Amino acid sequence: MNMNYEQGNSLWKDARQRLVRNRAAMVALLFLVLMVLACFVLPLFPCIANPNATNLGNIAADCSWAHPFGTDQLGRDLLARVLYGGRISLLVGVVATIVSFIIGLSYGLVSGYIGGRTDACMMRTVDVLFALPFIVLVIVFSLSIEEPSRELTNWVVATTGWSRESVAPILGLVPLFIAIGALGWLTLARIVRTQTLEIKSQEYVLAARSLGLGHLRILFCHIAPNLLGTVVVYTTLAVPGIMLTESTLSFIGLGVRAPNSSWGTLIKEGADRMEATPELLFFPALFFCLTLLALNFLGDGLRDALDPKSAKD
Amino acid sequence: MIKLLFKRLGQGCLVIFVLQTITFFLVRMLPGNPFLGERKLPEHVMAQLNALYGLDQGALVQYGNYWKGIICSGDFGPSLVREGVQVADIIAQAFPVSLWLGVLGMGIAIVVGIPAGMMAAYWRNRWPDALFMLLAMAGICIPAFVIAPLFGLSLGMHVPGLSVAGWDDPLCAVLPALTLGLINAAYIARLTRGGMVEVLSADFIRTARAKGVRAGRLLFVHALRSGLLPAVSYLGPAFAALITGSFVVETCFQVPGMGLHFVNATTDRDYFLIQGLVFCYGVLIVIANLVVDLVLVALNPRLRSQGAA
Amino acid sequence: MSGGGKWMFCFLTYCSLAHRVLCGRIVRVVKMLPFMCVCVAALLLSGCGDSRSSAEKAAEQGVLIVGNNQEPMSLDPHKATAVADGKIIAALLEGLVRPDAQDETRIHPGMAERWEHNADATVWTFYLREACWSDGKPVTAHDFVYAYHRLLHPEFGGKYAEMLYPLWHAEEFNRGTRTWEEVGVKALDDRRLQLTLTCPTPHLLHLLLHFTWCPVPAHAVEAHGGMLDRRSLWSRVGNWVGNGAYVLDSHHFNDYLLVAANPRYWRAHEVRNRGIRFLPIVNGYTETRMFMDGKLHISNNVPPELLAVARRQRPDAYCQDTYYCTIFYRLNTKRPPLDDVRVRRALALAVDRDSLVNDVVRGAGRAASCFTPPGAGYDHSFAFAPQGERAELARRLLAEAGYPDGKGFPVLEIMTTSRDVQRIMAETIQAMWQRELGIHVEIRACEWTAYKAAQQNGDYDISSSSWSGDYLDPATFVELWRSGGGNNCTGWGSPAFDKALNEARRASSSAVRLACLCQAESIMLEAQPVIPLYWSERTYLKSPAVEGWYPLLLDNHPLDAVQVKP
Repeated sequence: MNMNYEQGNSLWKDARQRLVRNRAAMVALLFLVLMVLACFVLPLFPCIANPNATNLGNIAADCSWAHPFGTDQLGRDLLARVLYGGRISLLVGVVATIVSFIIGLSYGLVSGYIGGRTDACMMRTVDVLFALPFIVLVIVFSLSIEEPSRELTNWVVATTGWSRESVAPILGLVPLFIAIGALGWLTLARIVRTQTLEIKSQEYVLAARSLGLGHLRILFCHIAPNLLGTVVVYTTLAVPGIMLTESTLSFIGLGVRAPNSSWGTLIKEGADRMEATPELLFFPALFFCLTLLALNFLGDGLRDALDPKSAKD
Repeated sequence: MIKLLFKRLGQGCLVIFVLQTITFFLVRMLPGNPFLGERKLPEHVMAQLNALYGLDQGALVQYGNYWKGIICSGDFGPSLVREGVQVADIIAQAFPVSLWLGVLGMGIAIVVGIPAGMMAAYWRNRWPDALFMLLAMAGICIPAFVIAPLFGLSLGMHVPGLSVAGWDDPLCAVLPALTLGLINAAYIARLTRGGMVEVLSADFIRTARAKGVRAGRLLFVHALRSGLLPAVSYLGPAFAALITGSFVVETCFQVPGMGLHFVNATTDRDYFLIQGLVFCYGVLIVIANLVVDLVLVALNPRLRSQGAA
Repeated sequence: MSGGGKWMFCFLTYCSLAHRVLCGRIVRVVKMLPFMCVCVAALLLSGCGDSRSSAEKAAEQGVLIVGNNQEPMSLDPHKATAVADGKIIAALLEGLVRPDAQDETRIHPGMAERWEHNADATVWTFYLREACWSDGKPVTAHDFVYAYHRLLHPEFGGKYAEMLYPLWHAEEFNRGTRTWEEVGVKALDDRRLQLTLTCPTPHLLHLLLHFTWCPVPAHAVEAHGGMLDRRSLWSRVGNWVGNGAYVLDSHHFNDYLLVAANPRYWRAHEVRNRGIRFLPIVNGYTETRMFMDGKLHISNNVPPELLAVARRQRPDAYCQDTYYCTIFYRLNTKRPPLDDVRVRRALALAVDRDSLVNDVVRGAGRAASCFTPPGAGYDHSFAFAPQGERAELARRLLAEAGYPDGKGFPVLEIMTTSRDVQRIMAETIQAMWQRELGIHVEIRACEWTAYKAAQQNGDYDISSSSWSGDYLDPATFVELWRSGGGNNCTGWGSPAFDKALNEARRASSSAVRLACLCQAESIMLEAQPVIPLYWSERTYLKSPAVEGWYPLLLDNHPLDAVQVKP
């Protein structure tokens, strides 16, 4: 370990090399890049229909050249809806996850490392937040954020001159990021704290401490890399939950607004109609599952790559 | 250990107190009130109702009365929406159902999840790993509101003895428990695998392997202890959440558990019922986390010194 | 194989598996996979015990299983408000009159044997029959007086006290400005009840069918805390006393509520089943699937998405009945630009209702040309001009109002609840307005109570609403729009409209009354504070084994007339 440290920050370089060698992870990464391109770039081309254009004469149509995935219950092109929905879901997945990742990691690290009374206090705070009724919290929050969020949209529309319809769906997500990010870190913090407790009693940490290294340095250079594996695994695990929470919250008026869609809302709509039109469930669920599967393969690859122990191999 | 236990119980009481206080003021910030009907109530009737339940008093007075009720008579107050019913009655009817379902679900989750995670870790990067993790990912990605009706339609409709939904037969618990169990099994399997992979590359395992310890012994005796740590810290809160009920599973299978009350009480603004349910949930969270911490200490002797400190 | 054996078998299989793993022969597990598959398959195929469905078992015991939409709020008729409560109370309590199973215009004597009224139908005298409560005490006129006193009492806070306002001075008493002695309810003796009304009410008997007019057992209420105790437990299992066809047997929250036939009911021999099990199934998808699995005899609602499946799979069970209910959009006339009648009319004209009915609710409704659904001798509906012409007119009106092609039109919000049907409806109408008028509206989904609060406080632009009739008379719809009325919520009011309503109240004959209501509705439609969308139809499933259930406009089925064959 220490040898690694003395060679400079080769941990990260090593990690990158190991990641590149991991075939599954690279395929997953490629897939994710393609998915991001498909969701964010493809809809700019005219071959993709307007996702909100209804056509009541063509309800729940089968797959065809005009509509590769068929149409939904209002005759809207499902492919376009899935791609546009992907924008929202990917955004929510990435941003809310990063927010909760940062909070959870640092909170758990500090709590576990300091220990004693501070730890007890911090962990009991987590208990309180965990037991608070999430929906109540979200409703109160969404109510108090309504006015500022509207002003933000107006301000952006006024300053940039972009059309309201294109700006509103994305800006409307800001309260959602805050809500999910602010409460999504609780389990992660507990897991990190447990691991920190375990790691900080290991010999190399004791050694680092006896060498007189600063607390921050010990925390972020010695402890954090060792628990990054578990953290990455858990974080990738939490992404589907976060994306689906978004769909639940859109039903109480926070998050994506009808007629815009996200993968979560599309899956929910499809699930309600699964006996009648299973393809409305199948395509969004397929995109959702494949993306998250790729994300998890990437997460596993990252975990393996970041594992300082495998450096010895 | 005993000292730790008492200390944590004391902290638990504090957690519950803070939780109840925050919830108390939070629910009163929700728009609307418990007496809003689909039709507008005349002002004077609304005033009468508020006065009857003491909701016309200042928030702090109400808060004092609430604690007075709990401490003096152990009374959580009346339901404001289902009038004539006590909050305690509702919880007493719903909790055993959720508890039973939660225990079954968690049983399935542990019984399926931990071995699957262990096997995946043991055969890391080979086909059993890929298979189990693929299944686990399916369990995590496919939301409960899809799995539940799928189970209902595929198994419930066609397997004799099982039913699509309802709660009139002991076998009715099978599908909801299976849904809850498999979703959690997926998480547990992933976390167990992560933890085990970590441990299996540790020096003491290499040593044991080099000494010719058999695979089973290696996994169960040497590695499992620390390999389970991540899964165990997930299990605590998950178990508490499970036995307080899941709204989606309960509506899909028509199970009379706590999850339904939780959501209905919120949308109906049944202040006292929300408060009672949050109280229950808080107590369970505190207990579950306490148990988890004790188990963690038992699993990992190194933690004993810090844990007790 | 019995249920217990099945579990034991599973357990043993698992134990043996775990044993093998523990013994360190993990590879064997993989080899055992085919064996396990066989075991599971055998287990599933073996089935267990009774293969009859719950509905069949219940039918043999003479018990009817009915889906009842939601958990009742209360069984006390003075605290109940929901439709689900009303259906249970109708089985447990009987008022002065009772409904007919087939024809809603016919009304049968209930607790009252016969009745008479004066020439302008303002003073009614009811002669009660000899009947008793389920604990053996006689039902007297004093029980009725007690019940009305309780509901109207200013200190009781009855949410539906308004239903009794047709009684002379009832509203004043309820507001605390008059004494009970002045209210027009009097027990002339034990068997004679006299009701004095504020205005001529020839349709009083229809009002009396509502559960708020039922008597309550004064002795039982007094025994459990007294008249004004809102937390009284008299209506709970064990304490319940009633005079209806059934008595309360057992109740588990969110699970079921069972009522059993009342042997002391005055026409107990005519009750055609031994009990009813009400299931509070909120989720329409779950309910429909449960029906398909044989868990219910009559379901409450098939959601539009499952209509096609229900029609295809169970044509023998699928029912679609006309319902006395309007789905409409409220427009907040206090907010610009909706304060301009031209804008409101343009919005209404641009909505293609036929398309809504056919494509969104899948035929479970009729396009509404006016607000009040046809029924009870009242029909105000008219044929629409072709949608093309309507849209043309709408564009012209919008241009007149200052928004040619929708230019400069502010962004309005359609407020809906989180229900799927409402959201899809809003999406459709949003697209119609965009296409026909070039205006963009947003959709705001609210959870239920926030929605109610916003609507009642007038804190919305356009609100997706519905109204179902309390009794079979157009007044239950038209009276809604009286200026300042509690349920108006649009801010609209017109003296001419109120005048027409008052004339209807004073009218001596039924025909004049209906004409006045018609005139009032025309005034209202002209000003367009609402956009009527469609008159909904009830879609549900009814087992072919059920007899004595007929389509009813108000959905007040006397369940004692319903029989389920084994």
